[in-house]
Amino acid sequence: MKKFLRILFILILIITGIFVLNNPTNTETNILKAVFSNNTADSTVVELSNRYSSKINVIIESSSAEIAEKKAQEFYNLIDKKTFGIEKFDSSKILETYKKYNKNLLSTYTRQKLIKKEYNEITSEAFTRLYNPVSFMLLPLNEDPYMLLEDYIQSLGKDNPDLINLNNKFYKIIMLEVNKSKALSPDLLNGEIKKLTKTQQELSDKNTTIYFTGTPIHSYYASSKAKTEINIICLLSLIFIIGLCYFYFRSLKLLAPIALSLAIGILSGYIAASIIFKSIHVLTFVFSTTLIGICIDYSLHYFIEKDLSKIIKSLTISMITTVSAFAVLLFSGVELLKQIAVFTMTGLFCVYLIVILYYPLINLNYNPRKINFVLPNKSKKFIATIIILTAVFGLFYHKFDDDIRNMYIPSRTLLKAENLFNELSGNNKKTTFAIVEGKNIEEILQKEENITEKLPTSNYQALSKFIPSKIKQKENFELRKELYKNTLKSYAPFLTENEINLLLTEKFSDKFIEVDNNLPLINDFLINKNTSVIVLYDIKNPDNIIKNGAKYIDIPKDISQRIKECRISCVKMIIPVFIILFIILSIIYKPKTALKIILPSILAATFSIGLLGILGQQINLFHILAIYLIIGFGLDYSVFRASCLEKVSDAVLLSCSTSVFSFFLLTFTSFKLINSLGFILTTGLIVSYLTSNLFNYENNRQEKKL
Amino acid sequence: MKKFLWIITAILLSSYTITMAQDGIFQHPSSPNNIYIPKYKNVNCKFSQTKTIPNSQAYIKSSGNFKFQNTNGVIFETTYPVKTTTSYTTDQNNRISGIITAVSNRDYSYLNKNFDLFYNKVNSDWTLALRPKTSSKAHSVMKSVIISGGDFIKQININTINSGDTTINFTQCSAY
Repeated sequence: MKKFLRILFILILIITGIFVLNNPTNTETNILKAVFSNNTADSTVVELSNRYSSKINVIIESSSAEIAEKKAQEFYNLIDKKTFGIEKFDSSKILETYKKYNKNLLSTYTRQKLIKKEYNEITSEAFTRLYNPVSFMLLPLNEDPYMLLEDYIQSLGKDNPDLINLNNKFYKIIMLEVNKSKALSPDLLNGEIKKLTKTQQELSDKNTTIYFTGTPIHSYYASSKAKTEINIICLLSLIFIIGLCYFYFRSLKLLAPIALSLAIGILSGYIAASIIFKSIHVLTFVFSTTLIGICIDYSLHYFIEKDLSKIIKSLTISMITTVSAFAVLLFSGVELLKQIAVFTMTGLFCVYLIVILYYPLINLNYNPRKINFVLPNKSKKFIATIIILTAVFGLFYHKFDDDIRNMYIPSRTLLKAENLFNELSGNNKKTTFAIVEGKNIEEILQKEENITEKLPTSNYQALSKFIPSKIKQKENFELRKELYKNTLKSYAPFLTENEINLLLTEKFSDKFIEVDNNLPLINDFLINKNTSVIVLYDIKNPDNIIKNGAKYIDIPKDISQRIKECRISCVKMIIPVFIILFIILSIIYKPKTALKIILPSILAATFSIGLLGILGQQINLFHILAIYLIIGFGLDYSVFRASCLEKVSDAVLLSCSTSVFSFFLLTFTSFKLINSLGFILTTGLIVSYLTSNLFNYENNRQEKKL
Repeated sequence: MKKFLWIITAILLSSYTITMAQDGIFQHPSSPNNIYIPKYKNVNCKFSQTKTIPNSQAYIKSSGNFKFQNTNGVIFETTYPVKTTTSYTTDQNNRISGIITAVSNRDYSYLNKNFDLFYNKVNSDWTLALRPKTSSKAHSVMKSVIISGGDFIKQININTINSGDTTINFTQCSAY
């Protein structure tokens, strides 16, 4: 039977391996995708986030305007045009349309004044435009004597400046739009961004500094850093394991089967994640390096006891409890944690299979040391007191933090670049969105106009701002005509009587500016033919937006809300999970022993949360999820101790030290989400180990068998 | 009467000379390396502007104070016939203020990218003409800009596609 299982295991591994090799999965590097999935109910949040995550802003800073211009041109010449397009707004096309239909257009401000018949103010502002030495008449005065088209265009918002002078330095901004095919392949995109950073280095000198901002840049630096961190953690973990083998087993022969089991564990985790998920997030790889610390436990238990029959029960219970703890992450609703769960559960299960199927075939001679670490009774009381006090007092100081923005802290350089870009572009307002749905474009435009009617024009950008609804276009024509009737003769002595009469007798032509896909901006606002997006700036009260039937979206707030809901449900699940585990363990062992097995995990979990409270650290979803992992690991130590094997104390110490070492290394990683997990798991596992030492399991030798 | 005729003749001659000079400037294509214009930091002037209206005999005239500050931008304070102040800070993109700033900052790369350049210098008087390139944003509204000066900018002549010509004369300039 075992022979058959061995062959079957290898066959499954080979077949799935070949499948994944032929269908390679992308590595996802977008930070936002770590915390919410494409399957989320709120798919609009994903759509909006994708929409705004493919832009890169290049800022060229120089003390000389000419150098800034030259460097910008050089930079543009050196970039790959197939990957990066320059975001150019072709104003000439829309300007021609506006000129043609100019009488249908009025700025919101002027429209309101005309509705109130405040003609004196309108003429006064028209004089200001007329006498402005550097103003341009977009139309001859006999067609638009009040220069209302200029007024309308100015109301749309200011154009991107060619060159900006700020604090005696000159800035040139190039906005790059990542080609869609490249944006979908993070590996390819990162390769192209690497080339951009090389160009950045080549063109930077004492007179020129080049900054980058935008999501792809954050993703590139985060993933590059993550890759370096993976390599360092792997290397240090391996050095630690080699050192441990050499110190404890006094032999390096064991390294080969241990390394092979770890490699197959990680490979199988990767294969499973590749088959289940469309792409694997780079942070999954970072976290999954801790598999080294977890998987090695099974090998250590085997090589210390040298007899599978002695450890098979503990090993199986341990595997089931740890896998169950990771399985909880599958229900977290967080894509990254789901991937970590699948990766780790598969890896653990495969290493378990390797230990029970293949290790008995290995015959190695080695002579392990005997540490047999036991806590002195005095220390036990002291440790128990400290743990309980920390757990109890800490719970009074805990604070929760669900804000997604606090989960990722960019480097100082990137933060400086983002702040600079915001200052230069005046884009430091809080951006939110309103999603408007309608049966057709006209209905969408009318809904948008109702929503934005009372908003200052600087507080939003919407399709209806650039192309008013047909109803509004006709109203604008009539309002303008009323203005002409009341003031034109006295206002415009520069026009001939004939020109004035032509303007006064003009009739509405029933021709409108239509939404045309060839016009610029259309695709910026239309998600599909029935849905548009209004971009809102610094909106304090979205009630009017919601009342008018739009869906209000504040991306960071919405994600934070989802994280909060997820955290609350995870907290609520902790007690039921403990009860279920207690029932399972009570069936396998006696209830008293089950309690002894489960208590270290409860103490470790409450201590870890309490410690965060005392240290003033805010508790986030990932700390709560780590509690489940602590339960899984903590149970392992107690389960093995409950087996009362001769060398179990050493096996638990060694397995704890490898796990703690791996998680401790995670606390030094740059991504807050991962180092949050690293910190709480390190403290939780140390306390699990210490508390498992507090109980005596010697009386359990005669308990039920599995 | 004679005195009046002399004045009329003088005005006509000077207008003719200016027009000839303006047309002549396009005979002198240039490149950024060959252009020399004094660099200004902060300048105060009086200005007067005359705009012609296409297909009309009427003119639009205004005057007031002009300020250029290297760090802040361009301010036109119109005092006649209406009182109004138009300022274009350096981070705003008004084409004319952008050109004035680029000329003052000697940002010839910007000018060269957006315009065909023409330059002529006689003694301390210089004339710089800019004709928008087809790729430039200004191409759809502007035919040309001619800037002339000595120690300071003396005149800007803007020829547009739809809105006639604008001539801005600067007098009583002082740097500080």
